[in-house]
Amino acid sequence: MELDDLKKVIRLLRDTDITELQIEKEGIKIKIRRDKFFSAASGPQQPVLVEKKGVKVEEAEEGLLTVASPVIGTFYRSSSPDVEAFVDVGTEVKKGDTLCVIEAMKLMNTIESEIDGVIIKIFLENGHPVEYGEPIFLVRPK
Amino acid sequence: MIMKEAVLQTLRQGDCISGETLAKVLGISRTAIWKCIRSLQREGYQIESFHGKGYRLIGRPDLLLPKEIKAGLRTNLLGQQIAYHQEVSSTQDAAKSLAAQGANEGTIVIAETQTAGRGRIGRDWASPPGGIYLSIILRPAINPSEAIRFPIIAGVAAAQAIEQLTELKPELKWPNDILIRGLKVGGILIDMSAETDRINYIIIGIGINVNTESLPHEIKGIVTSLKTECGKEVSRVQLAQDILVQLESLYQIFEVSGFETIRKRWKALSNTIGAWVSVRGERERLDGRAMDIDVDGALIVQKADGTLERVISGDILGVTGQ
Repeated sequence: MELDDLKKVIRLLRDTDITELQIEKEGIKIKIRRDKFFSAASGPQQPVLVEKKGVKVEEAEEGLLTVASPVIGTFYRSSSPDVEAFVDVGTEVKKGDTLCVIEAMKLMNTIESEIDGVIIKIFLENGHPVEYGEPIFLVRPK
Repeated sequence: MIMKEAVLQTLRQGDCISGETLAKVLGISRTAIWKCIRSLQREGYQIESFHGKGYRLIGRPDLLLPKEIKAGLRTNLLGQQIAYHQEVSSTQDAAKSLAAQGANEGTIVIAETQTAGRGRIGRDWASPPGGIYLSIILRPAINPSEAIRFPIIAGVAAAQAIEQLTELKPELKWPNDILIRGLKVGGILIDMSAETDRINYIIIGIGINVNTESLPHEIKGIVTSLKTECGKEVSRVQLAQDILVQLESLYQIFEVSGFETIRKRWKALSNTIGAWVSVRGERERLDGRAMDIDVDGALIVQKADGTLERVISGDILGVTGQ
């Protein structure tokens, strides 16, 4: 689910009396809550809570694939600080191409693309810790 | 080619054996035997020949030749297939491509020197002659998230092999640097290829400074070699065999009874637990006392304010005050 979709949902709710909505799709849980004494237009907006879980998130309506980390570790976008990143946003990847490396205790886990597609989004910065199941890339399948 | 191996095999038994007997036992001509002997001598085998008496093997080449490693190797899985290189860019990369082509579990790649030996992200591993540069392909039937224990398993295997062969007291610095008297003698790097819920392969890369003479100047004072520490040459073939035996044994223990035994052995070999450490991560630095390793092999550090931190990535810079 993209940010735009989320906005659409919120807009839809604006003219209703619904104060709480929970959407759950394979691996992603979105909860929207608002105080019934405030109308969306005039009152302060309640925060939107987005929870994530699961390893691989398929987003059917957009057809995008989220690549999630199968391990915990440190996220690396290249094999060495002085060489180019394996992929950038917009990079076309083939099945089997290296997307990134996740390192834990000098175990280098090479994450490969499981499909042909284009990188739409990179969720993490180089050198950041990554948790088990955390999304790292969004890929548009070809 | 096969005949040459058969001749070597017979000579390994240690006795002086005549050309005539060799020819009879192996069913080839004496001229063919003589050709095999000459060829073995060119490979570096020292074979004495006594007129009228025959041939005797008195010395082997100091090379990590597959036939040397396989002779007397007490493993069922590791090292049954060996890819040997005089020189290779990196045994890890060579093993990766073999694994991707479907090489059997236990296949190893071993080299006399590497031109592009790798350490952790962006680091080199100096690989002059005299060392062991060994990569081992494993295909464990476990979830990728469990593979985090292999750095600990491999560290224990290498340290135990050195301990057994040399009577030195190797220590492990978390996760798996191998030190002697605080100086680095070996290092381990592991590459993994995995899908969401299964491991395609794990490649355990082990580099040991055995009889290495010409280590780069900039790492002098940080590193050492087994030869320096023992005051004499150490058999590289023997050490390579011992590492394979130890690793196979620990791999079986891990598969059958889990990680706990290995975790305890690591702690007994470690110089890290109980010490004040400074851990440099990619983005931050952490100081505190190393308390333990947990069920994954992650390092538990207690900070000055008493809180505990779980470290899975980073370099330990200083180890002081046990």
